[in-house]
Amino acid sequence: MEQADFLRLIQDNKGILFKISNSYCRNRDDREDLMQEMIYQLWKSGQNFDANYKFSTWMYRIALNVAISYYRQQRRKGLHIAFGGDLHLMELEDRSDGAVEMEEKIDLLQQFIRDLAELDKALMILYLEEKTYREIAEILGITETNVATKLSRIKGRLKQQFFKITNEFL
Amino acid sequence: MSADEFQEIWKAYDVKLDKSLQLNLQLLKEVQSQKAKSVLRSFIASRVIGIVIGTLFLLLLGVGFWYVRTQPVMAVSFVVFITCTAIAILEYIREIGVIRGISYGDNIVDTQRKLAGVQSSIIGMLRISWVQLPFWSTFFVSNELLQKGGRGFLMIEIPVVLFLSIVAVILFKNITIENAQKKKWVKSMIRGTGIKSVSRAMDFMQEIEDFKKD
Repeated sequence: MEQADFLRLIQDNKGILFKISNSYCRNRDDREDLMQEMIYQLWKSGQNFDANYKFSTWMYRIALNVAISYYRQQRRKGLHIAFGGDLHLMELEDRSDGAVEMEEKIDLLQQFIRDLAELDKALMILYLEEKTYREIAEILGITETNVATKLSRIKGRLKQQFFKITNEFL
Repeated sequence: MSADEFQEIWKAYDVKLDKSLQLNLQLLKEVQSQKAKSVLRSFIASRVIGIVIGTLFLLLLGVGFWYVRTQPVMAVSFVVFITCTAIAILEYIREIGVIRGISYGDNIVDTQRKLAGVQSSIIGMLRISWVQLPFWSTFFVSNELLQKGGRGFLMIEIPVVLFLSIVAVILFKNITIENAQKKKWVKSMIRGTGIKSVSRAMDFMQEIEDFKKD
């Protein structure tokens, strides 16, 4: 894969990479480290990308595998590349469009996802990304039936939590 | 709230990120060129250190064996130490092979199971280390000590060796990944080694197995 293609690829998928790192890491430095690791592994694995596979399946597998491994290693020393100054790989500018209610819901959903077990987190992210059960099964390596059962359980739990918190505020 | 509403919220998150997430392409190029130290690479480094230390220890044992080769009890003890150390080194080499064979592009359950499996493999090392236990009570038993110690020495030495052998067999049989999840004393013993990553890996192995069940 050429560098220009790779950069375009990361640019096109920056949102999902950010969402994954945000779901697996609470603080900013950890998120930055995880982003670096995901991008590095994507670049490294890009040379072996099998064109027979769907690109998104491959990308989700790598990003989620790295995220789960990283999360379990609890941020090892020496992983971080310091760029110097206040430079960051990704910057999230504060551009609130005034939709406060939606912002709160997004925060709440992110919070719920962070509290899920590692593999459930991956499953939920793929569901939210509107992947089909078949794709989810392929990425995770479990059966479609299993995907359906687990998703319905997790969604049920999320609904309850949303309902509980919404009611507490009323 | 309907389940699809979660997807709507997620889409709104996408829109927000599209507008406000800025990617620094220059730094991205740096990530590519600077070889970021990956999690797997640090694991391999720890195994390489283990192999180097193990090999030095093996050489030391070899020298020790050379000096005691005419003393049967001591020689047998050294052979056991040498064999166990060699097995540990081979296991480390095998782990490096497994790690190098892991591809993040494979499905998540298989990849994570392999990773957790390698981390839990230290349990195998623990088992082997217990095999050596009785020989720590025999490696100093020279021909001279056997002759001079006489019956009195044997009356102490034999029960000690027997006791340590029984302990070694019990531990060897019981220290397994399956028992680490089933038997409390095995779990606390493994946790007691202070190897947190191993107990985390074992818990995660269990989580993977549960996750695979329908």
